[in-house]
Amino acid sequence: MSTASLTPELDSTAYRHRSVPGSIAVWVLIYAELSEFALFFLVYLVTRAHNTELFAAGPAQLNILAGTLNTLVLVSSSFCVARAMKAIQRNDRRACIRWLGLTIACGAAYCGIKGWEYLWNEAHGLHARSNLFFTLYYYLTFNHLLHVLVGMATLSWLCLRTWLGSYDAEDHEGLENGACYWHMIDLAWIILFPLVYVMG
Amino acid sequence: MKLKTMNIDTTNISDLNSWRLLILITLGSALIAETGGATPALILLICVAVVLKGQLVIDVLMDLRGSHRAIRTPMLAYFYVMMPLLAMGLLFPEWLERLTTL
Repeated sequence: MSTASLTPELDSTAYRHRSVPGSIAVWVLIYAELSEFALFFLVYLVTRAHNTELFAAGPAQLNILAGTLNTLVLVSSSFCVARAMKAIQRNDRRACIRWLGLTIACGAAYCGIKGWEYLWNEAHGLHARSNLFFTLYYYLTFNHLLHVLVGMATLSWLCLRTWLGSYDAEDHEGLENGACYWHMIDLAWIILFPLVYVMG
Repeated sequence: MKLKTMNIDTTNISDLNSWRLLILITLGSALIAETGGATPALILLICVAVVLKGQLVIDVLMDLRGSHRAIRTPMLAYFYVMMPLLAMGLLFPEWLERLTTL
C-alpha cells in the first residue's frame, strides 16, 4: 500500500470531502437547537389541528411586512457571514471584519423590526394572551429573537478577536463555529416565517 | 442514499446567486401571504420553496457541499423530512387531531 493511500489528508479532494466547517461541539449545539425548534413546530401543528378556525384567522392579523422584512434581513445576514468566511480564507482580515459588521447590523435590523412588530401588535390589541395562536406566535418568535441576540453577541466577540489578529487563513475554526450558528438561526426562521405568517 | 438522489443540484450556484434566489423566493412567499387564503396547492408550493431555501443556505452559504455526509445529510433531512410532515399536518388537521386526542 502506498504512503499516499495511508495519509488521505494529503489528497486535497479526500480532505475536502472529510472537512466540515466548525468544530464537532458547535454541530452538537446546532442539532440540539434545531431539534428544539422542530419540537416547537410540531407543538404548533398539533395545537393548530385542535383549533383550526382560530389558527386559520391568526396569520391575517399579523404584520406580514415585518415578517417579510425580517426574512430578507436574515437571508442577507447569512450571505454576509458567508462572505466573511470567504474573506478570512483569503487572509483578508479587513474584509472579514467589514462583512461581520454587516452581519451584526442585519441582526440589529432584525431586532429593530421585531420590536416594531411587537409594538404594532400592541397597538392593534394583540397580546400573548389574546388566544392560543398568539401565545404560540409570541413563544416561537421571542425564542427566535433570543437566539438572534446570542448570535449577535457571539459574532461581536468573533469580530473583536479577528481585529486582534486571532484568526487567519489557516486557523479560523472559532469564526466557522460562529458562522454556522448564525446560519442555523436563519434556517430556523426559514421554516418559522411561512409556518406562522403565511400558512397559519 | 435516497436523500442524495432526491436533493437539488446546487453545484454551480454562487453565494451571490444563492442570495438573489433566496430574496426572490421570500418575496414570492410574502406575495402569497398578502393575497390571502392558503389553498392546498399553495401550501405544497410554499413547502417546496422552503426546502429549496434550506438547501441553498446549507449547501452554498454554509458551504456544506462536499462535506462529510454525517453533517450534511441530517441538515438536509431537517428540511426534506420536516416540510412534508408539516405539509401533512397543515393539509390534514383532522387526521392529526384524531392522532393526538387522548
